[in-house]
Amino acid sequence: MLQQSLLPDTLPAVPGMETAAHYHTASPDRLGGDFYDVFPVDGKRFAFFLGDVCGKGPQAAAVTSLTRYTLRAAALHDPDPVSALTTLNTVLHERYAAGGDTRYCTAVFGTLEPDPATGHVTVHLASGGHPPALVLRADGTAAYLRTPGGLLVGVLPDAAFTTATTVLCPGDTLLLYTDGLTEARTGKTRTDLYGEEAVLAFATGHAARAGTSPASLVEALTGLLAGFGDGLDDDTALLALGVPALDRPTGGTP
Amino acid sequence: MTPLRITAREAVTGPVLEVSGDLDYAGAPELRERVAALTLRPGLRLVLDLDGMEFCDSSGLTALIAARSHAHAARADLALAAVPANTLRIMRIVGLDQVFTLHPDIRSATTP
Repeated sequence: MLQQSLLPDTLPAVPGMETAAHYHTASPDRLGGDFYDVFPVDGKRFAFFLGDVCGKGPQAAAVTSLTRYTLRAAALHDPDPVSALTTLNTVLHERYAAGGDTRYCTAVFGTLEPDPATGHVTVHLASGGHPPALVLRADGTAAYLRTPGGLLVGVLPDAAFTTATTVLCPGDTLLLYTDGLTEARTGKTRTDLYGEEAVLAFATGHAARAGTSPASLVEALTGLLAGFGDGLDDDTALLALGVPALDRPTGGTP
Repeated sequence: MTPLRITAREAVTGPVLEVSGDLDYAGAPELRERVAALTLRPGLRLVLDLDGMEFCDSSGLTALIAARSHAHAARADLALAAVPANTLRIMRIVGLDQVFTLHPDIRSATTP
């Protein structure tokens, strides 16, 4: 499947972290445009991104492919999140919008910088038009890492992207998702949506039952997505990045 | 599901397109065509009255962005009037509330 070639086969081992991802395809015969990746950028940092290309089909897949390669190449040149999204914005705008065929995506791009002395991981991220990341803490609380005002990537020649920073301590997990999750229809009308508050409640409820590890959170959300049935008419990507809790094994990540 | 309906009229500020129904994958091309057919002069304001818009998906947002580009290419302005709450919510998530000129109602949008 072409969709598979647009996603990493496996996520790389990030020292001192656990990662988990899932891609839910709403319609097997329509290519979706969600994407994510995690990769090393220098000796001490990793970069990650997740996003959603507007539209479906082969043309959206071409945008997805261009987006992935542009973000990876941009990050190797300069892993600063705003720089990476700005490069992507320039590339998409010149390739599509400047010719009258506006194509855009939403994206979160960030870096992970582990501190080997403390085991803490500093996350710097920037968002262009993407729903806020969720941070689930070791104590079972959760909050959105809000990035208001960041613009869709590729729409305008000059776009503003909004940054946020957090530190992940043992037992903390950062969750990135595409809006298939928050915009899933839960009622009869098109405006009856699952929503941010429900995602927050689901995550804290899950943490109370089963902890905060990335693998268990992604597994629980995968079940939630499956339960939406026909209410989920968009693809959904999930990416969870966490620091293993101190009181349990590291789950194979060295 | 309500089919898209577009009604054109002139205000002192420039052309007004009243958009009602669903601005979705099926309806968005019509808005693009109607906007592209408008002759805009520098300084005019194209107003899209969205009071009757019931639904707007990503294709619809793209058509609104295309309308803005069309207006700006003619050195005219674009304003959106009476954006429904559910669409305004999406616009805030994707940052478009900072890009479009928004008016609460058609009266303020067509006031010079």
